Amino acid sequence: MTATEDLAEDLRPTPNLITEGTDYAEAYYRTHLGIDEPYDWASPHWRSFFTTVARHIVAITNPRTVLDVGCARGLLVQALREQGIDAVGVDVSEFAVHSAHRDVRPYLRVASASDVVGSYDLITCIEVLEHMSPSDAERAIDAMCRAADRILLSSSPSDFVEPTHVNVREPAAWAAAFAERGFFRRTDVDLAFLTPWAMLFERANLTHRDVVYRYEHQLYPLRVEVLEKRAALLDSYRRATELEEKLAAAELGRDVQGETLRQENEHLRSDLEHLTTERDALRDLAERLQDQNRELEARLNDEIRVSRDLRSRLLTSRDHAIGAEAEAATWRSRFETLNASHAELAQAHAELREYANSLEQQVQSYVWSLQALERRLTELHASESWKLGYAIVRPFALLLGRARRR
Amino acid sequence: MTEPFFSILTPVYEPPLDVLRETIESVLAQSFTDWELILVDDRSPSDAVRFLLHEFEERDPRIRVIERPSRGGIAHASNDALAAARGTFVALLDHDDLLAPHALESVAAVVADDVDYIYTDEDKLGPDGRFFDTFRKPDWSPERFRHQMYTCHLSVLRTELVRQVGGFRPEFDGSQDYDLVLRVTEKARRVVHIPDTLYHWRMIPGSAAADPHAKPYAYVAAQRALQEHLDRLNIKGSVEIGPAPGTYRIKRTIDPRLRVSIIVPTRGASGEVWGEHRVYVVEALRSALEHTHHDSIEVIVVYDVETSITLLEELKTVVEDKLILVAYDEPFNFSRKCNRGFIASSGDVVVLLNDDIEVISDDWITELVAPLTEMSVGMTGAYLLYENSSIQHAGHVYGAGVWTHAYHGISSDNVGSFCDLLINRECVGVTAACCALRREVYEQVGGLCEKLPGNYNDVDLSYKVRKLGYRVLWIANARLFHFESRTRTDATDIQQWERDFVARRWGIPEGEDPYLRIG
Repeated sequence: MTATEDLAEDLRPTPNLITEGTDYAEAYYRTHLGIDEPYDWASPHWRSFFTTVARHIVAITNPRTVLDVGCARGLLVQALREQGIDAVGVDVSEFAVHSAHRDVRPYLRVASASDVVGSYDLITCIEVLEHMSPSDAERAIDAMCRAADRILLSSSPSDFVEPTHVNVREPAAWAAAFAERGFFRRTDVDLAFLTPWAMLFERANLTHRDVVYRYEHQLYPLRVEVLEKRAALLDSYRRATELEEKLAAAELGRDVQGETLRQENEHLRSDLEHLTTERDALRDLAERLQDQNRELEARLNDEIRVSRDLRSRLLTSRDHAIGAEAEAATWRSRFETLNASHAELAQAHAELREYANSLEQQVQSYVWSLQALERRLTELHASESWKLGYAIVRPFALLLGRARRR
Repeated sequence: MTEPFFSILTPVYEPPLDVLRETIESVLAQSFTDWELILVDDRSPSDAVRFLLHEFEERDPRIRVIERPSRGGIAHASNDALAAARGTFVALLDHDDLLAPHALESVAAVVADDVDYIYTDEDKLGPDGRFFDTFRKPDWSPERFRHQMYTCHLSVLRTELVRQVGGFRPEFDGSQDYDLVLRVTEKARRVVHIPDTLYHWRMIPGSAAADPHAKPYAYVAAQRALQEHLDRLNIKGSVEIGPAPGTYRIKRTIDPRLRVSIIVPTRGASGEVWGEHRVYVVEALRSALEHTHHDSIEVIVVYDVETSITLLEELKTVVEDKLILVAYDEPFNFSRKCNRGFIASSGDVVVLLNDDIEVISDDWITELVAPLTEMSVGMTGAYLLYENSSIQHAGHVYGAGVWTHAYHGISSDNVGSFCDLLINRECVGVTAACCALRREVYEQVGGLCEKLPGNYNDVDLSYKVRKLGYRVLWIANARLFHFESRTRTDATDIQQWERDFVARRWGIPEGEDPYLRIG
């Protein structure tokens, strides 16, 4: 980017709009300062802010006297004064000056920036020139350059929304305007504690070389930083892209995996349902089988009982059979014994009969011989010796009689 | 059957001449005349022996003398006699013993076509000429025979069978007759015992008859002969010398897989034994399981339903997973309880066991069960002692009109008649307090007779088992204490109807017991 281009960019239409002190009355301070905190020394926020600013200003410039142009309610003046600086302020708003804190009120005046007179170690002009028309601003710069060798300037380069910002310019434009008047920016100080765009100008006799050195001295680190940051940005971008791609892929993968898992889950769920059904069926079957088993067991037990009973009966029947057989054998042997004794008896009987017969025959023969004897006896009766013979024969006669009776 | 012709085999080695003369005279005095006497002189040192032999040879043509050229021992001499024998039977007569005059006549009376071996009772002849120590032997008892060479004299064997089995074996000298009779009886169709003293064994100092310790080499030979006998019959076991001279011990083994069901009927009774309180069935089973290495056992406890749960739980801890409980809820009937236990059992062999016992013998189950692996054995019973170690049961005796226990009440220190309290033997019956039967035998006989709930059911069972042709064995080495009647007070007295029942079935046992003929 060249200086010409910067200038060209700066060539914007600048209608000569002018704001007045009444534009900065109570409502302005209530609504235009960006925060809800009342723009007042009593506000800890503002008091702390301006105290910090004042300390930095003193540290950088070490002034005895300071004029704050556009001091509003004198908060910076008051803060500088508390640092022991002889500070005064001017502002176009009567409201602002009159509503200022009573401690600082004596050091403030109602006046326009373009009317600045006197001599000070330092003039501060903070967020003022953008509120002024370009010509008033030029006059104000002239006036300030006459009243001091150091001017601290801060003018917003970008806040176009604020209605009273009638003359917004880039810092380069303000720096160029001061350079026209022999004031150059102190590039070695950084006033970022105030605003990013704040600059400290100093009256100086500088050669081109000094100016170029001063700015190049600032430029090179900035370029290096920009390049490095661009490279880092590119790298970051690429890594981000890569990560994005990975993320996308991962998301895609996750989706695919998720889908697979979902499908698997689906399968498993259906399998589970299937298995559950099967299990229930099996459980039913098992129960049925158990019932059947119980039934069979009961029948088997019955059959075992019946079988045992039958076997018991068979056993006792065998005993009865073998017992009966034995009994029969015993009877048979007794019968045979009896039979044998019967046969013996019959034999004995026959023998006895035979014996009896033989006895009878004997008896008969006795009878016959007796009869013969009787005959001889009868003969003998006639004989002389009969009496004696009778006595002998008598017992035979008795025996004979017995034999006849049988 | 034609009349038998007997060859009397008499090896001779240096006997006293008068003794030898008496021996030969006892043959000549036989009432049965169809015999030959083969005298084999085993090279006696004195010629007088041979002179005497030839003198008799000349006197009677039925006497034949063989002279061995050298001494060969009794087996060789006996084999020479056997070779010369022409009889259908050979009778073994030692050169110093006597035959009763009617010996051969009695033997001839029992000879039949299927008879292969006959033995008789015997007694001893003292130096004073008195006869004593009559051995009234049991009827043929193979189990006893393998524990004791009890048949001994007089032994008459079918000649053909003796030759078939190879005659006498010299390597068993001293027990050559035992060895021969073992081999013959293994093949014999029928063995007959004549319960008459037909042989007089002369006691001569130094002979086996006088001093049983005189011939230890004979026992060792017998041990070998018996081992071969077992091996031939495929009986698993070993032979040891027995507790008394002339007795042997057979230690059988059984297949560890053989399933044994111990059936114990119980009422859960308890009482005092040796001054200590016990629950009978618990201690019975504890001792029963402690005294056996056989593992394939189930214990079936048939308990009255009133039996306490605590007792049944205790049984479970003692018997563990071998226990099967069978509840019984009918009036007392020992037979039925056993039968119920049998129905619930699954063993190859069932052991009926009273609950009021305590096992003494180790491996009692093996002792009791192993003989049943011989199919001809139907039932085995144990040796039971009372609390005071007197005998409660050593086999039944059925004779003289009563059924009773052998040796009941005497001290168990007794060895019995001819050691019959020391060795296994056949008997008419055994008590059901501890007996074992093969499953199919128990089934065949219909178990215990339920019409005999208390007494005599074991008598009836024994009759039934023998009626089917099985042998009943008493096992001397299965010893248990039996605290009898401590658990059953209502059935100690035998009722007349019980006697009548057994008599009706089996008749009253008149005469002698066939196995225990002890006055």
